[in-house]
Amino acid sequence: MISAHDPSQKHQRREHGLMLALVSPALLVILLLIVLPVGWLAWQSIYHDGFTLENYRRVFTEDIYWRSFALTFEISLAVTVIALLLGYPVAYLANSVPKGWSILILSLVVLPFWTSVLVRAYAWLALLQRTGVINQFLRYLEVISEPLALVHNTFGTVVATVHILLPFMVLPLYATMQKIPGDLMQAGASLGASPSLTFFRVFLPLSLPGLLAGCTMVFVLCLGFYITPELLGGGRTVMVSMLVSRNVELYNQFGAASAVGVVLLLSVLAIFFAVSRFISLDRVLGQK
Amino acid sequence: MTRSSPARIALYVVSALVLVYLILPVLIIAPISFIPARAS
Repeated sequence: MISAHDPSQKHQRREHGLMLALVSPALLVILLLIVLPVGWLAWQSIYHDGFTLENYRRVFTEDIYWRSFALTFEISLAVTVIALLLGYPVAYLANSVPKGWSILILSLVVLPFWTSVLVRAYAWLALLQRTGVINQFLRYLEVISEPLALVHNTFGTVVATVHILLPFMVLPLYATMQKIPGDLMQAGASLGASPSLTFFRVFLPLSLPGLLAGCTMVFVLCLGFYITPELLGGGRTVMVSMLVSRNVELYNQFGAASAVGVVLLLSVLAIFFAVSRFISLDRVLGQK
Repeated sequence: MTRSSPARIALYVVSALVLVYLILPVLIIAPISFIPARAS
């Protein structure tokens, strides 16, 4: 029988106490910088001279909010699919070439991180506008006679957003592909499978965790994008983050802005919950 | 001499285009940064 004063239990309790003391500064930072602001945000959305659900009623019934949420999810989905189609071949190539080449490829993938999102958005503006590099080049080649509307619309927003988020797709994919043993592909080939069959039956299923992690990262990050759609959407592509900004800056309606923020936060949590049914969140967040 | 398959060549071409797409804004910014500012 183990007594209440068992030395091993006492030691365990002391260890737990020490661990709690060590982790408490980090918990305090999380409480001050994340939990309290989010709690304040949620409180703002339901309290204005008394308890009210008016802000949520507006978010769920008014047309502008519905359209903005629908557009945000459409753009996020389009960006995720395009980033996957562009990112997978790059990650695959980086995984299959010798070390020196893969370092070069990955350096080029992370190169855009060296400049700020704002500068990159202006660079895309310089590239895509009516008198921009791409329109001038196409006119020089006589492919077009009138400049194409490549910017201040959804197209420009998607092009620039994919550019900014593509590294978030390539890096988890590459990390997952690195863990796939090369012997498996050789084994498939030795059993008579063609390279494409080996890829689709062996490599692709094994790279699914990275694929899902990349897609989740890109989709969730895109939901909250602000600068890029603001600059390249030209006011026509109103994403949810822009609604938040307009509610605060133009109409001084913190309650409505908070309600939009809470709904977006709950949407992201729902996505993470859905993804966690298929894959450990540690993998999505890059822990394993 | 080994010959690359069409699929492998397509992989190289697509990856090269994606990498150009990734570094294109940086390539545009770099020369613009050397243009002198207009005197007011």
